[in-house]
Amino acid sequence: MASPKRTEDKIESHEDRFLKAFEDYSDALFRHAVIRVSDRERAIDLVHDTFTKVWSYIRSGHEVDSYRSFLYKVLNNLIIDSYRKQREVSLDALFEIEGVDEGSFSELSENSVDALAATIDGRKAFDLLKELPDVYREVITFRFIDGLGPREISELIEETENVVSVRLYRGLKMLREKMEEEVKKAEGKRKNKNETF
Amino acid sequence: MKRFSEQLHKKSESLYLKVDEKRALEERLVSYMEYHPLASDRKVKTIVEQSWADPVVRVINLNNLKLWQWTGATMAILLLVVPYVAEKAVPGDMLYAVKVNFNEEVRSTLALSPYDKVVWETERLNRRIAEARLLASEGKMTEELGNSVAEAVLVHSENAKKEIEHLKQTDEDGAVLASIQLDTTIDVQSTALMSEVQSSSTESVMAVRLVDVLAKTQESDQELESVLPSRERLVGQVESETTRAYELLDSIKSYATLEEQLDIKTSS
Repeated sequence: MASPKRTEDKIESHEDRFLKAFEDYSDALFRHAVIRVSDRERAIDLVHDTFTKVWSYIRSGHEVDSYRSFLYKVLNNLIIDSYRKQREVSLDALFEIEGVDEGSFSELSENSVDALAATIDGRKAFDLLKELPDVYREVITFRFIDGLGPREISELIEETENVVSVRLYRGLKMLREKMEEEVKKAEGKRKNKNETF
Repeated sequence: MKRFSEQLHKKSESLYLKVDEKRALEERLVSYMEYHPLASDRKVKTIVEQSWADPVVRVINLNNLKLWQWTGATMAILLLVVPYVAEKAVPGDMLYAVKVNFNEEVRSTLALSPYDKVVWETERLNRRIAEARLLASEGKMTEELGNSVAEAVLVHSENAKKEIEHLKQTDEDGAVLASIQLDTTIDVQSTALMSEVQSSSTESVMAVRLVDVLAKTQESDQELESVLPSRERLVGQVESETTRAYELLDSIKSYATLEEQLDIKTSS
């Protein structure tokens, strides 16, 4: 019996596909950009630049098989470029400070990441994302908000899956520590109030 | 992790492009596309596979389904109905070739032992003679049909004899019994045909021809004539034939008259 996927072909132009990709992914890209740069206007510009870059890529004769992954990659590169322009400290130096390495075995395990994520309240964590270093914020956003897998993320940021897992673990750990700090601060304020009265 | 992911995702849904922001962004993008159009050779359209959800695709697949249904029905007719109808065919009929070359050949393959093969070839011989009688009685017998019937009778008796030869290698008693069965059939048919010849009817021309053919086939196997099967084997064969005869008699009781039943009993 004929395959249900391919029984008759429909002709679609490059323009149509491109505009459809805008319709499908512009919101998700914007959301990602806002979380990463914490600035709405900059995020809109980044999304615009992403699509114009992709259009130039198509104009130069290339084909895009999967718009989703390609758009995320271009956006990620633009965000990194914007960080480089803003900050004088390079990301390589950041890596040296952070000392990103292959990590211990417990950090590498996907189960460890899952177990750690299960202990964190996502609603509170969302507000604290902007306080994380971008190397961690990037992977957490890709993983838990954009829904990309470790392999997809590794291809996007051009790192190994091990590095992605380590960053996810450390990022979540940092989030939890910040949340605990927030709780302690809130308790301290309450005590001071009570003592005053 | 699922809970954390869901909470984070749900919270992030508060971040989205407003309608006017999205429209403005789209306009900027379309302007950019107009100022930087594709090269003419890049305007070649791409082919996109349609999904199963498309109504045109569904119609095409439904047609394929109907095609399969028709094919299945046609195969069922060809394999079941046609052979069933062909069983009643006689020489000269359109389906006679199906009867002889398909139905009877399939039954030949189902006869596994040489003894069963001899029995079946004998049965085929009987069928040919019965068909010839029917055609002669209806006045449809021609020279060509007569030749083909005579040739078929000769072929079936030769086949039966070959199987008896094979059977002799492994089961001499079986070969003797099979030989007896073949000879008996030929004798009975010859006797019946002789009586038709003596009645001097117009059908007797064919009957004479068949008697000659049967006489040729009745080369006695000297070696087997002198051998008797073992008593147990013979008694067993007699019992099974008798049982079969009574079963056949019971089967015709519902539509045969008393006279006909008596006639059968006395002649047997």
